[in-house]
Amino acid sequence: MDIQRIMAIVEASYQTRHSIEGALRDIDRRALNAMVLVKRHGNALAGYGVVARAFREGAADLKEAASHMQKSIAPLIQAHMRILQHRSYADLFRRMRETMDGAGKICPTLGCTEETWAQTIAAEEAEALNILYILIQAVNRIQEGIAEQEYVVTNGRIEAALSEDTGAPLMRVSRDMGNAVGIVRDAIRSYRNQLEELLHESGTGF
Amino acid sequence: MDMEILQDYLPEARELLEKAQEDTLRLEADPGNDEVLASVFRAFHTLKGGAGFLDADHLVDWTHHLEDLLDKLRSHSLPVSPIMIDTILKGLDVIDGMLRELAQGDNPGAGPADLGQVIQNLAAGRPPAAGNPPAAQGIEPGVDRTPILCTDMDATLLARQQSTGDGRTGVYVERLPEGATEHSTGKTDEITAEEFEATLDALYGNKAPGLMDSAEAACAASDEITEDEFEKVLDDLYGDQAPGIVPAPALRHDTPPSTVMGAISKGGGHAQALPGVKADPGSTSAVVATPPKTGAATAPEAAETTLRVDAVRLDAVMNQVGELVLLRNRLASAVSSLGEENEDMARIAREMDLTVNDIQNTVMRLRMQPCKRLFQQLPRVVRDVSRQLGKEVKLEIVGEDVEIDKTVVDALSGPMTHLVRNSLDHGIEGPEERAAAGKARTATLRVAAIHLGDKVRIEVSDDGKGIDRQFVTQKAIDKGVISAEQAARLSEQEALELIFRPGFSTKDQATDLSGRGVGMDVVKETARKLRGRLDLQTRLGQSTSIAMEFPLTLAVLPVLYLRLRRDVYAMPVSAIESLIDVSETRMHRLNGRTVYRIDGAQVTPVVDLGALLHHKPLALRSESIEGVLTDRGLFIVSEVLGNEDSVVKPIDFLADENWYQGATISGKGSVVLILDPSALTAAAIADMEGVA
Repeated sequence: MDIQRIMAIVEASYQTRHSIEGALRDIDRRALNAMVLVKRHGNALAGYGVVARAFREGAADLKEAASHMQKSIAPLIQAHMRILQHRSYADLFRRMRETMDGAGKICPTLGCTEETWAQTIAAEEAEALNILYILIQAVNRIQEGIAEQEYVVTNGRIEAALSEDTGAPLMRVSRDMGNAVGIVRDAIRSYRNQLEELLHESGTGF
Repeated sequence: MDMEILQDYLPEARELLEKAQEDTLRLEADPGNDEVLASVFRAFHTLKGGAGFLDADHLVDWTHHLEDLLDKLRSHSLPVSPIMIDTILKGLDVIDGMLRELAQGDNPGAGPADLGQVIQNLAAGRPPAAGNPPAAQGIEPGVDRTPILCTDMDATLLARQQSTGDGRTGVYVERLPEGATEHSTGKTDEITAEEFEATLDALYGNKAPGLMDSAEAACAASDEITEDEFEKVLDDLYGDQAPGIVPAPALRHDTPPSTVMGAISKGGGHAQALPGVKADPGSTSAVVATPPKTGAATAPEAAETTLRVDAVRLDAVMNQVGELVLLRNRLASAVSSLGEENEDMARIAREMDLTVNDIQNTVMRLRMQPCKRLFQQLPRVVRDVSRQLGKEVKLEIVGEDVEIDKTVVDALSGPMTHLVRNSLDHGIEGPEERAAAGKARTATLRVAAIHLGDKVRIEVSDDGKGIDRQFVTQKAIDKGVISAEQAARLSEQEALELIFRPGFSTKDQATDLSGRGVGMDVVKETARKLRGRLDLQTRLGQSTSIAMEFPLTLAVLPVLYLRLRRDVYAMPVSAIESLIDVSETRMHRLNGRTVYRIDGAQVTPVVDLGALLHHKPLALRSESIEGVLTDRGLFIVSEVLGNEDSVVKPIDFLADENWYQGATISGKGSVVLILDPSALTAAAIADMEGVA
């Protein structure tokens, strides 16, 4: 992996975090809006109240899952930065050994050092891969949360249809909720694609 | 005076009075309605009976005179005339005053002598103002009219056979006033007591109701009957099946009047079903008829399905439920902080939540009363004021069945009258003016109660001339309510709402109807105290509508918790329209005020809570902010935390004018102030104008 690739991951992580934070705030606000709307209609919208509450709880769970994801991003970037640095060191020793070889000089210590760096890099790559797996698991949890939210939104649409005679704009509220969830879903799907490419590049496949 | 009896009597008497007033107004529109006549008669009869138990002699006398008049109308001896309606309504006002005296523990004084004389004159068929002899009009041709002379009391009994309202035949016995015999009935019309007995025997054989041995006995020894005679009459009428399933001896002097009143009034025909019973001393007439059995059968059922409970006890229950709601919130908060591993606790908390909600709703319904109670005074107000002003007005009442908290019903009585009188005095034009404007001569005044989710909207609207904003603004400047500079900054709606300012009136001279600048201020203050909202809509030359929106219940207040930097506040959910993501590009300055553009058409004032409550505006770029859109403006806060059903605790130690509706205890156990959006918006606007 080169520095451009790492920068691309950093950029994607930042964009995803920004997008998810905004969308989660939006989801929370929409859930609260729905709860306010329900309260203003008394018991007539009690069914939708359950949906709105579940939506807000789901939003809180998503926020929690997003924070876990965030925790893994920095260590992953740091691990890859270290790998890059150590690869450059290993390259330096390799070039020195090749120069010495060309001059007909034998330096076993250089070979030993090169070997040590190769082992260090392998260990760091294993650690980075592990972090990547953890990050992908966090992304999985977010995607599960999104699936649950989509299920809640579907229930909300059903409740909205059942409560149509109350005159409350529940269909619009449900649609807005669905849109907010859609933003998180798209952002996280795009991010997952990038992480999977990284995983593929790491040589282990997925 | 027996206070226990009084406590039973007063609420029932007030209901009867309200019903009598409503029926009297119906009678004005439909003078020939026998059912309504009988209903008004029964009301007076029942009021009199209960007053007798309280030894309220003047009330007994007063209701007796009115009962007398109603009896004449009911028997069609006299026709219903407008002056009679006026007199009956005035008579009801006197009874109302007497009931108020009773409520204060005083024995009511005598009613106004002149009005009493008018009632008696009308009942005697004389012109109201003079003591002319009673006219014999109103007796249908062919009616058997048989006067007898009661020698013992120097009075004449006039007996005639006549069909009753329910199609049965009865004998009407009427005592003519002293001295009236010679004028109204010739000597030839008089019958002896024996002749009267013969008439009764012919009708009833040996089962003549009243169990009097002779007509002389009926007149003798004053009008009062002994308890034994009363019992005997009841036994004869009902045997052991007297209505109310009360053993006959229980209906003695120590029986609360409500029991007696219930037995008399329930089933409609019971007042007529006590022939010959002279529990109403001094009665000059009694209708002799067979009692309808259906009334006796239904009365006990009605008694078993309703229960009169002291409002103080209901308030106590409501307060206790409020405390339960707070505990529920704390439990829910504590359980949520335990985490998912406590699934059992979470389930208990959820079930507790549902149960408390059910209890809360049930107790809330206990305090609900139909708006009919609120509206029933209005026909009388409209009638009297429209007459006084010479205007033609049709009153439409909609939504009498809509229920709302008792506190609201009690508190709105005055404001509703103010609104209606205001509409009649200022809004509705005279017939000529209306005709000239191409409108129908008769104006329509509409009073409506509409159920809107957790709110009830009460509207008073008319198709009058509307409110002229410029005229109102100029008057407000003239009267020193606002300055010319302030007037220049007012929006159209704010200019219209000047009518709610204390001291504002469009009249230069106060009349007994308006002009003091108090009525609309009372409306506004009452709405504020009841956590309500006022909405004024008008179209110049066409209509005006003033609406008040109140929560269904005042016991529990759903709130939204807000964070302002480190402090948490609450705002009533009922005031909130939506929560929005604030965008700096939508903020503008307009006439010295900061406003927010919600969409292409809507602009609303910005209320920065940081500036108001912390004296340091929230910085849009460096602090997190969220917007709470209310009908008064956009409130800028740090964060919206969530909603909860709360219980309002009054803050007595603050000045009357403050920014809080009260305080509550959050689920986390901390005391949170509940913001008053209207007061805060007004303060924010005043601040901005001060700066400008």
